[in-house]
Amino acid sequence: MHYQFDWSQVWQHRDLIFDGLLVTVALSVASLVPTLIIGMLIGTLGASGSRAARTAAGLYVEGMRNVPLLIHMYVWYMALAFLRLPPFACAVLGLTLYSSAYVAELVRSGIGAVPRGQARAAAASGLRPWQALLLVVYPQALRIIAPSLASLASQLIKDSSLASVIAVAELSYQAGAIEGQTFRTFEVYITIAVLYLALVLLVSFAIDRIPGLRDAPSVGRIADA
Amino acid sequence: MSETPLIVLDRVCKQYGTTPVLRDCSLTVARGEIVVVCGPSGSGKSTLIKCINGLEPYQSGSVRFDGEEVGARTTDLPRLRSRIGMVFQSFELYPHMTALRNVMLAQVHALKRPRAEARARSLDLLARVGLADRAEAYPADLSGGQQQRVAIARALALDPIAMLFDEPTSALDPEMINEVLDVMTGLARDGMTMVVVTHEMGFARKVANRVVFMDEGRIVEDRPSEAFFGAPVTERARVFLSKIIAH
Repeated sequence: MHYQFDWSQVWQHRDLIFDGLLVTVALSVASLVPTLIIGMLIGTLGASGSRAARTAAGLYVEGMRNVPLLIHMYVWYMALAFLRLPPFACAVLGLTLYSSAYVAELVRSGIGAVPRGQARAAAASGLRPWQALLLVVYPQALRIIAPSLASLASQLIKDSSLASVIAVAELSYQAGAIEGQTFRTFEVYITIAVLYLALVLLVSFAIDRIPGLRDAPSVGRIADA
Repeated sequence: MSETPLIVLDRVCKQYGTTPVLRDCSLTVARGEIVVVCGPSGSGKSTLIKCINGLEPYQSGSVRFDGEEVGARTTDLPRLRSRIGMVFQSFELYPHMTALRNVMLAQVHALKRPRAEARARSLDLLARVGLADRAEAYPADLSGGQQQRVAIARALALDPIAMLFDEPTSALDPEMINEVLDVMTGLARDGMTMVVVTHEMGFARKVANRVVFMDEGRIVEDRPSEAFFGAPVTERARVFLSKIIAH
């Protein structure tokens, strides 16, 4: 191998890389918020007592997560072309629909892991079903699924790179553009790989420090109590 | 004291699929009365008391609490339940809250009591069950007996006009049973209306006004406790008693 590394070309295009990084962060945040909200709603329906609600939630989950994210990107970009939405909005839509199906499954399993007696005790004390859900079931379910939610958030950040195929000028898109001009393939992709890594590590680190998630008093209960 | 009985069950029937769980159960509990429900496991005792606060739906018959039909569509169940305290076999304290917050929760969110008042009331009740110093402890750090006493305080925090106990000591080590029974005996002495599913016959003999014996979803005996312990009428109750008192 006689490849001569030349990082100066990457440095020259640092403003493009920085712009791409900002778009990646914006895309991730803009998708993560609705992903969590929709995932909570669908997951709660999936854990509900009503068969119709469970079926509807199941259809959503299977329909959304069994289509590759790449196809989501193309489909929403093409299908909604008549709306003339900016590519960014189509990417948010694709990422949200796809990731929220995974969040819904996490939420559903989290609610299922909270002993039924908890909601029953809340009901017996006069709390209304939505109060029991909000005050008793969700806080326990969220603690149970917190580690999986954190890994889902980092998955979403990495998945946002697929938005490059519909010309959203995020990190991977900019890398492709710089590579096309400079032919410095290794340098460019190593640089953005390190940036993705740093971003994901930063998020995991931050989530780990959300108070109440790690130091939660054991929610695991005495099995035979 | 009002003349109408507080709890009236009239020919209540319930089945899971084709398996009958309750068959024509009728029961009346007057205000201030303490009724112990006993019987072999699977006889429907837990299901019966859960019908009183509507935790278990039933297919036919009627359940009235303080004159209100529990199964009626128009009944505001959460409001009705906030007047009935319930204690479960498995405690069901909320593991993510301290003992104090467990006792406060329904006061603040169901009764809409101001926080400060709910807090003061909770501390009083925790002191009453002997746990004033454990208010900030999480359930996982409490013994079974302590958890059940917090659960009793939580139920009392609603200022209920009746208390339901579903095998409150069955999940406890023998040496913790008495600390819970003592609290219950104190309540009984204060005139609380209580329906207690239990196998603690010593408690039943000492505290209960009446004993209800169930078998295979039917109420087969319902008599004053001295009469019941003196000489059960039915053979089934006699065999049951001899088995649980023998050791």
